[in-house]
Amino acid sequence: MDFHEVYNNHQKLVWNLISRFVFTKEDREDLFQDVFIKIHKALPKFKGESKIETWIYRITINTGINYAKKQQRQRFLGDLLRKSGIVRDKEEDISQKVETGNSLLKPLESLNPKQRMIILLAEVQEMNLVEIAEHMKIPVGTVKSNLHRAKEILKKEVIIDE
Amino acid sequence: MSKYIDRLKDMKIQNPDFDNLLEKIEKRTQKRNMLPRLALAGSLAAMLIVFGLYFYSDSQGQNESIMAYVMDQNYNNNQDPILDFVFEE
Repeated sequence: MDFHEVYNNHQKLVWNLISRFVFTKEDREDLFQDVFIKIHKALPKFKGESKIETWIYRITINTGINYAKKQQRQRFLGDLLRKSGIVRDKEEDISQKVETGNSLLKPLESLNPKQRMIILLAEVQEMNLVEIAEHMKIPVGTVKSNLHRAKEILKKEVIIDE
Repeated sequence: MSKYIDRLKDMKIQNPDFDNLLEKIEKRTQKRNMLPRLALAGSLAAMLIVFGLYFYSDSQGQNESIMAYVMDQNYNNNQDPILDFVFEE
């Protein structure tokens, strides 16, 4: 299968998912590139045992969660360095980086990467629990509990925002 | 909460310049492909240097062994092995 064909046919699918998952233009573009670099690398090994969409979703989900975890670690380290006075306070809080007009995404910040991905797959992509479990390679029970927890957190955040 | 989810679903997504992003992706994949080649070239160069040094030191070692042989000869007042060796050369 040709990479350009895969890119042209699935660019919007990937973009739609990651644009709600990360909050700034730079992060979206970085993550988008990371996803397609992984696709480019893995494409020769794709045997067509699953649907190409499923395969692309899987790569996007894994890359997205890893990207967000890495960001969290960097933010934690940055905060630590700032608090200890090693680095000057730059106030680069992610909440300030969320694009204007996208305050809608702000409540999603309070979720951890896995919960955020699960709620987006369940509510925006309208996948059922089994599909999400398959895509994320985790048990259905884990999906269910994470979705429940994510909804609880979001409810509080949405109420606060309103 | 359901209102929020509806708004999230209906949120307008601004598409990026996909062609520009494709260019960036291709550049990054080319760089990735170059890395193993660079590593191979680097290791070949390193091997050449190691071989070169080995043969160089080997030849140095030969000279040293000749000198050691000459120097190890019992000193004889009548015959100066070092000078003999030098003059013979």
